[in-house]
Amino acid sequence: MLSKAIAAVIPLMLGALTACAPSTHTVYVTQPTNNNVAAYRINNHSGAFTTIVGSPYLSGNSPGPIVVDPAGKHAYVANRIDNTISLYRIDSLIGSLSEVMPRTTTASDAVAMVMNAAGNLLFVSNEVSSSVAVYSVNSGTGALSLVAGTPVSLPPNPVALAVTPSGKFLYVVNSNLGSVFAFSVASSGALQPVAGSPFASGAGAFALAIDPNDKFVYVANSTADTVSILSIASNGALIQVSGSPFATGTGPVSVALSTTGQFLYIANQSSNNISEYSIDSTTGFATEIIGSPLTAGTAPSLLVTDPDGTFIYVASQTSKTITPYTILSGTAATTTSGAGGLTTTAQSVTIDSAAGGIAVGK
Amino acid sequence: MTRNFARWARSAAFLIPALLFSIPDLYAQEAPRFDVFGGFSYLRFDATTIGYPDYTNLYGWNGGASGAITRRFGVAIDLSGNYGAQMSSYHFMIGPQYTWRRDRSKFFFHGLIGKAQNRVDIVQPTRNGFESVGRSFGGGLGFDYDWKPKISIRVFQADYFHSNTFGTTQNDVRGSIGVVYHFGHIGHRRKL
Repeated sequence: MLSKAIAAVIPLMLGALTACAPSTHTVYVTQPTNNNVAAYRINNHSGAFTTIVGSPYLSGNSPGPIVVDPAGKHAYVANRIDNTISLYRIDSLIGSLSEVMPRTTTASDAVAMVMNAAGNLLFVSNEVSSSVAVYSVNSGTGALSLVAGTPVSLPPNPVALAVTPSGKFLYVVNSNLGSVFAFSVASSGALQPVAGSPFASGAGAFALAIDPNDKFVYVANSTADTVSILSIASNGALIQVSGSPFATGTGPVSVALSTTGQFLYIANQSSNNISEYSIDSTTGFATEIIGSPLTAGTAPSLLVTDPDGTFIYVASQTSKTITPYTILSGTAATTTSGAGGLTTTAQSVTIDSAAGGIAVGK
Repeated sequence: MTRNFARWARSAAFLIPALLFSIPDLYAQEAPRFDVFGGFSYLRFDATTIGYPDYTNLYGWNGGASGAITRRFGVAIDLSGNYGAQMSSYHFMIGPQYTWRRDRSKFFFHGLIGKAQNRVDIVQPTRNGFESVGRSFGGGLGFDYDWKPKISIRVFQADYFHSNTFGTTQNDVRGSIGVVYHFGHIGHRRKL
């Protein structure tokens, strides 16, 4: 009798204990005032944040932009006052960060960073020294080495940059000129200006994003309150699409795309909302989605799309929060937004200081 | 599913003693005054609360002792250490224990309170890991089978722990097996 009871209970216990692992990924947020990086694990279904043990992790002075490599093994943080880049090893199980010393020296004030899809080149825009540097990435250790011939000098205020998914072209936004500088990228990382560069964008050009098919560049013009959509020619030159620039809210400062490139999102820092657009994949024409703009706390300043295409993370400078917004799928309109619209499904997480940068990990 | 199991364990921790208390004392017999236990244990640690993607499995030891005040009631001390992927977990617990015997079989139930000490090994430039100690309480049950006059086999022991470490709450489940050694005796066989 007893042995039968035990035989019945043990399989039940084992079944309960070997349930499937929940689907999650990580998010890293730099906190310039506190000189550290906060790490969170996100539940892919609920969007709920859990602080990773040991977080926040120390960084250099005034950490700003952060990049996670495509393999999810290393993270890079630009320390804007130190003029260094911190390399972190990401624990494959926990998602925690361990800094690998020494830090890499940069030119003055690394305001933006981006890595190519292959994960072997890191591009850094230095705002005060007005240049763009390229670092090759050691595939094993993640260590950085400055590519010969860089940094390349630019006019003052290169504030943002993006590399095409193919890795062929690099685009750098110049805020003072309201234009975009274009470079072709050699396999070594060497930069060569594209004929006709720079290309006009709009007043106060401040942020940019590139669609996943290498077809369009989107530039937020923070003074003009517009988004410029430029198609990418085969040689890397940029051409305004019909209808561009398109109106946004007030003070557009960050741009994000859905993973398919079908939807475009703009954070309007002064009007406290997010403009949402559907993009014609052929012409690049932007049509505002039903329900746009979406009210989004106070001073939304950073938008980041998660790799699964489920969420857009919005950092608010004033309320010091990170809020996950779910990207609606399908074609049926909901009460507030149609497909591609955003809706909040999880609570914001409050961070210690206004975010300097956000990156999504594995 | 694992969270459901934790809820089941919590319920069982309260329902099973109620069941045992309701059984008439028809089979009371001589019982050891002291038991000392040592064995292997498995801990299903609630690591999702500290940023792991899932619960994590920790393996290690479980030791303890119990002293009988009456044939059925006593006090149990329970110590365990479990180790796994970049982490370790220790429990230092004490609490009341109820025992029910029949022939060579012994069922027991205990409530436990004490401390949990959890450590995660993440190498940092300035430190080698993060450790937290917090209060813990829980309960469990088990079954021993007499092998020799002084030695029993602990066929199973299952415990649930509710611990507060790293500023969050963990709901952990532990299973143990091992050997029990008896000292002294209390009570006498009652004629049926």
